[in-house]
Amino acid sequence: MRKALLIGDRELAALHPITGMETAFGEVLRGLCEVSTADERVYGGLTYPGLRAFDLVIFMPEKWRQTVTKTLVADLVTYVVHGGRLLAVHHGLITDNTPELSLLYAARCQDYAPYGALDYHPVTGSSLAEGLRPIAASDEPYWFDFDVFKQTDVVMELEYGNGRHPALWRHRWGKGRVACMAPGHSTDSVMAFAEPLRRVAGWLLDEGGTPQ
Amino acid sequence: MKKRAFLCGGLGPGFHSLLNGVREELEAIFAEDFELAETGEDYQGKTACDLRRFDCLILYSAPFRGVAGDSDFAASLIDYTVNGGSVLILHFIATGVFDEGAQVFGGRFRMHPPYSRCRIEPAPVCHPILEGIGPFEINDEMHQLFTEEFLDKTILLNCLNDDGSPRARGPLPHQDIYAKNSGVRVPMAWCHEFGLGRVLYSCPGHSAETFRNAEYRRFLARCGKWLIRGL
Repeated sequence: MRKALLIGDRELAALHPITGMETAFGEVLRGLCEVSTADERVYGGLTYPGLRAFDLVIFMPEKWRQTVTKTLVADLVTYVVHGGRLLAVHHGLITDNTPELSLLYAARCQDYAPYGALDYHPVTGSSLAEGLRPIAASDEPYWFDFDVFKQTDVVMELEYGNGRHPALWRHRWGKGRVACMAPGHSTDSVMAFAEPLRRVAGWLLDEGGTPQ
Repeated sequence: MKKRAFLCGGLGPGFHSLLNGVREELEAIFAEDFELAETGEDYQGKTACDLRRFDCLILYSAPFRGVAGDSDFAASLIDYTVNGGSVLILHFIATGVFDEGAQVFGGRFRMHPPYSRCRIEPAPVCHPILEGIGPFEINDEMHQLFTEEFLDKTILLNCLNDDGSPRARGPLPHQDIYAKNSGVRVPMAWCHEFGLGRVLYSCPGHSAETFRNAEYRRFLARCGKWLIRGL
């Protein structure tokens, strides 16, 4: 069975604790991979060799400025560029002053709005979105600026205001693969996105085993 | 003790070659801090471990044609950089040939106006590289790039309008090629950190003549010191 590592904050988190997320992701990804966690007590000590032991890293820490070191960012980039698979979820996409992660995500969060009922739609033209149904979920809407160089495949879009905004996208980065999911404020939201999440995770995991 | 640098560039005939005097000029400019431990085109087989044997990579219009973002070398170069390596890119921004390289190193070549006389001026920022550096004029190609906007770059040199007045950058995500006529200030050199590493790009350098300009030599020497944490 493949292994995923969920990185997030537990006691430190004010709004987005990973407590409960490990169960939610474990359920959504059942059969694809086993999910273990690294919270703020341990993830600061993660290194590239440690990350390589995992087929997938699910990244959603909340307290960036307190916990994420330059060394960890370097190790994450090293992990991905050599073939690692990264799924960044919700507040894991708020990169603050970490352009390295914005480059990995091919996106930088521009703004967000208060929690509320939202509608998401599969994107015509994305092979991963074929057959997906629209999703109604309560979450915080995020929107992003996208990178000028790295093309990404948008799988789901958020309907908000007068337009639609990418909410789930994926691309290759170096030898690795990256997917980003803007919703994920709560376990309910993660469960609401179970089907697109399983598809994205399947794509993330389908080539090779443990990254070389 | 001098640091070890890998000077990567073409050795063939024609323009942008390390031959024709460029290698000798660069060796002299960086002589105080670097020895050119290796020179040439042999980059393809180098792993990140191989690259880490060098304190600095100097990519002079490096012959990276065909390098793909998922290639071993691209991964090695990014690994080297993000984990504390130093990369100096001169003239043609060869790392822009693959998407991840354009992102990490800050840009992709678009085009350039004809080789001509250009006035270069230090950017109005406080940065140790620029201490004691004044404006200068050179004959060169001022390359226009598509640029990465997510990086926290410090612009070091600009190509100014004919009247010498600095202007605000335009809204487009790339440099404006015809700065002389458009009123747009064009960045010609910048530096940024990437992870634990350091990157510096400087455009002037079409031929050895450029590297003989005294002010530009001083600027490049200070770039070298910054890259090896000597400033």
